[in-house]
Amino acid sequence: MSSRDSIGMNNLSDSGNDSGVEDGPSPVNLQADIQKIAKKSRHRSERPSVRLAATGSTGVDLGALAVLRKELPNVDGFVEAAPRSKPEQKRIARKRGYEEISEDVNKWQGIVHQQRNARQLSFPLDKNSISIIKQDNKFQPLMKTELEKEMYELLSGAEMIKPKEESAEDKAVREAMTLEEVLERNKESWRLRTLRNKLGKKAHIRNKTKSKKFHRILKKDRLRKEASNLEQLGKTEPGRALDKLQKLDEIRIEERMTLKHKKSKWAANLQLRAKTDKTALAALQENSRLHEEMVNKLKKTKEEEEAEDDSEEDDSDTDDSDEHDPEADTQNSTPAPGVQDKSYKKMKTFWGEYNRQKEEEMKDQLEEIRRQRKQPKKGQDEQTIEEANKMIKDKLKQSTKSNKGKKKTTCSNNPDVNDNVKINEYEFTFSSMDKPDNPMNESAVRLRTLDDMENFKPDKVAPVAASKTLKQVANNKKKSLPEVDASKIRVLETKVLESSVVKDFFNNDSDSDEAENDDPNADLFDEDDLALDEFNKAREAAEDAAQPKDVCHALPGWGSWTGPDIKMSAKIIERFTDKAPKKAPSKFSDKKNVIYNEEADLHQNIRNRMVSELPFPFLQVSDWEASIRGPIGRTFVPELVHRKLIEPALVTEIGAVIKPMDQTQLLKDNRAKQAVKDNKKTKNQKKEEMEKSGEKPVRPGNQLIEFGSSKKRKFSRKSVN
Amino acid sequence: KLKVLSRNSQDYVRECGQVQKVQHNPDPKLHPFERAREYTRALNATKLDKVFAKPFIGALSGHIDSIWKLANVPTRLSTLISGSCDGELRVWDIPQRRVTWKAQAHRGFVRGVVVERSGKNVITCGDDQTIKVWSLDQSTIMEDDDEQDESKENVKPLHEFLGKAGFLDIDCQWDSDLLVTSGMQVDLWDMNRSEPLHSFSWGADTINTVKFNRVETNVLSSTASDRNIVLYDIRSKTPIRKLVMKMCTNSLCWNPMEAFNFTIACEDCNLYTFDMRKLQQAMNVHKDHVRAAMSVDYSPTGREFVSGSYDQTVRIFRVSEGHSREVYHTKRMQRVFCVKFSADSKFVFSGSDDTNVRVWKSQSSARLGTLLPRQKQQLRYRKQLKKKYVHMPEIRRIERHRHVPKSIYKATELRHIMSSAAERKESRRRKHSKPGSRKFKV
Repeated sequence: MSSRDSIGMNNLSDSGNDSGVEDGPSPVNLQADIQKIAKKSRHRSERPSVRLAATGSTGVDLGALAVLRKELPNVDGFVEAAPRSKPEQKRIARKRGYEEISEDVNKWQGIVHQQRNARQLSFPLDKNSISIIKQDNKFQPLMKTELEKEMYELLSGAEMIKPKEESAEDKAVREAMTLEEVLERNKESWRLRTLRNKLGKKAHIRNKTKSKKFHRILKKDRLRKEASNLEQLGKTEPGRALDKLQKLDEIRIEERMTLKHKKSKWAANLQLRAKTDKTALAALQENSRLHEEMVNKLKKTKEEEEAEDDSEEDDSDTDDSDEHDPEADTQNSTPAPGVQDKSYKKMKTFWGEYNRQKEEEMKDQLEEIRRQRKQPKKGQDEQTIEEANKMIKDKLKQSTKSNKGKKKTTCSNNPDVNDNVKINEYEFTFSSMDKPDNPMNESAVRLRTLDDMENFKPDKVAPVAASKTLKQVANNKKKSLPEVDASKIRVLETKVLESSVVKDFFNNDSDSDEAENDDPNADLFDEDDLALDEFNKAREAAEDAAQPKDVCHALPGWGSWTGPDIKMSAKIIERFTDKAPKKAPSKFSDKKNVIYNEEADLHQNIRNRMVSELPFPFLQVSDWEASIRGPIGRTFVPELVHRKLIEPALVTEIGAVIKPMDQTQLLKDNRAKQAVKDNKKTKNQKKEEMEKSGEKPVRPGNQLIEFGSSKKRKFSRKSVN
Repeated sequence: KLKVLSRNSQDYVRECGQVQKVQHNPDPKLHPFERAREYTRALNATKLDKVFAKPFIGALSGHIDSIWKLANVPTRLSTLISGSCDGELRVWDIPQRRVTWKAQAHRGFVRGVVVERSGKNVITCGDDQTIKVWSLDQSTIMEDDDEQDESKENVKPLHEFLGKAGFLDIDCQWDSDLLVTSGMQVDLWDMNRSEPLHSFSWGADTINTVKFNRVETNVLSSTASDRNIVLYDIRSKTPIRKLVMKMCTNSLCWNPMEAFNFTIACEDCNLYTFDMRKLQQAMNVHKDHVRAAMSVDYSPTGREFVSGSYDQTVRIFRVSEGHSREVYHTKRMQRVFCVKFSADSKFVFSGSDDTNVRVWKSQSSARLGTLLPRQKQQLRYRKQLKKKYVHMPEIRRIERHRHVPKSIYKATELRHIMSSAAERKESRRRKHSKPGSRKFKV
């Protein structure tokens, strides 16, 4: 039994000691252990002898027993658990404890990994809190049997499931608008406000516009609209339309009474000036003459109309003229004869009577109305309203045909019609001026720069220019035939860094290169050695030029005689010559097919600013180049992209206490775990790839090798950190 | 009268301020020199960084002996507590740069200072075998030195525990009120009991420091003068693992964001970062100090840590990098015994032999105070530019350049010579021995 003990113990102690770092053999413990082991072995050596003696007396085969004892430890289940020594127990407990803790701590691995690889970290970490959501009582389970009902009632009666009560705060929250709603409303009101402002501004600008033409057009527009409105009203509700008409008439009458229409600002001004200025007087007289003429004309036309009314009613071409629209008349009618008829006078008196009577009637009516209502608004609209009124009247007459003395069908005397006529005329004249086929100036030449623009002449240039350019191109083609300047040839070795861009560039060009190789240039070089000789000469010349020259400072006549046939002595020349230092051969001096122009190469200062080795985290040159290729400044990229690009890797708030990570962070660990898994996968994939390609994977743990080992660290005077 | 077109420049200014609206067209055809321009901007940003690199904010002077321990309050940013070698305890108001209160806490060194997690009590331990609990908010207000000396006598601790031997360090569990002290052995204390709950011992040597893991709060670790680092689990009440270094460890700090990583400041001038689960080799060795590293403290972000050294410098290392990103020193700063990161990771405190507590910025060219959004954006842009072009030799040279005192410079040079010589020797030995017979040192 005792031997069994010792064997078991030895095994365990071995397993405890094999990880040397773990249980650093503290001298005290070690000593105690040794002593204990020594004691046990002493016991062991003593006890078997006693036993053996005993068995010997009973006559059992001792040899067989010994064999059995040796085999016993190999039989499973037979060995009893032996009491262990204290240090041993401690050691086991420690080992188990460490393993457990290591295992336990592994739960943080995911989140640590996530944090290390996060694109952006922000501190303090946001708290993850667990909250229990109460169940609402709205859910009514489907109860089929009595038992179920009873059970449910019992449960709800016992208030196991509490209904979620709505507090005042909750109610307020529910009833209050959400942030989105508020924002929506604000947005809407803002939109309306801006719209109003915009319209107001537009109206303001329109009113301020001084262009008469503009206002005229505007007025026309408005009148047309009003007329059409009234017409429609007449169709649908004749009563209201008449009312409106009457109202308009009233306004007109009122305006007539003020005599505003007779007062012209221009005339008044002219009258003032007429006291001193004779031309003004003349103008005034001319004006009155014109006016009279016009009035006469008007009257004449009226006469004619009446006559026509009597005689023929189907003449629709002559327009229905109006006393208040002389312009239209003048435009439409043929020049009026200056003579006045007697019948006209009669008519005039008649119409005068008629008008006066009518006016009186109207006045009476107006008086009445005034009594009834307040005075209607006076304003700049009056005149226009009057005009509108007039037009509307016409229309009404037209539509109702109640007016006996007028024609049945007449074109409405819109100024538009006249305008149209005018415009047509203009159009005609325009088109006659221009070439019929070519409304735009077209040319085959595209203007690219300002100089082009200056040189460009619009008419008849294009075809000529085109032909010219064609000729030029042809000439250039002729000129660009082989003409090799050997001194300009420079061949450089392409260097180690294999830029992807450059590669692409060359790849793209390779086709064209091949094409060029086929062209007569190559033949030229192949056929005669002349070019080669020239090249060699040029090369030597270039090399000579690159060598620094000796400088001779000797002056003739100093220290010796000088004259036309006298040469300076070699001694003096040698004495005063500064010898140039021999230049080291350039890196291409051994290559006979290269002329190396050192000045055209990258300057050393630029070379100093270039990266000589592939920087650390990058594995390929293309990666490194890609990392610095795209700009990130707001000058070069859109603002939002810029903001995205400059997001900091670590965000901390000033004055915020950052607490250590706590267990709640593990709640959001799922994603982190996933990240670890993915990472492992990719790592494995990478490993496989590396193994395939025959490279040795770098273990992350190898960083330690640098400690006191072969990794070199550059030491420069300036950078110590 | 002349009529001219006139525009009020105010109409083209944003409502919020004096910012002129500028139109940009990001079409790359219009910016043929964008890379060159950005490179120049990056260069300028790097230079500006150097121009604005003024990390030293101020010194808190008042102690009359070397400062041995610093502690900050987990709930406040403006308070710092320092304990000195003559047993004096001072509580500082950092923005005001003055002492809130002070007390003669111990006879001999104040060996350990820690603030309870609630931020109400300060717990100190010292060579005089006592643990004392102080209320952080004392009513005494300091006016001038005379009163201070009187008031020093007035401040009394709330509780006092007497131990069997002198204490060398104290730490508080992050999520409960358990305390742990070191000295003869590691003792676990409950605040409400006068006797330790449990004592851990493994080996007979003095235990210098003890530290709770701040994430996995049941794990703690100690460093002893017999070059050991021991991990304990307070649930199983046993020490669980021992790690023997070549030289003694002066300080230890757990990463507050990575539960299983800790960093030690070693007597051999280096700092080592270990993974608790794989102690066979260090994850990283941080070299730059030229004399013993005395103290280490993690930034609360867990991305970098600060270390103070006997060579009179404070260095800031990134966890993943082998060399420091920053070195701070002043002419008057002597050997640094303790360093501390502020709880918002913006500042670093150092306590040194010259009796001063110094306040440094953790980013040397960082701006203090609030920044306007545009300023923020500008700084971000600059930072990103520097990051983008950091491998360009010129920028790299400027960015890496630091000035250090001549003595440190020479010492670095010497260490470099020594280490390279050792390497050379090793490589030659390997070359002249049977292949595979000499193993690489790990």
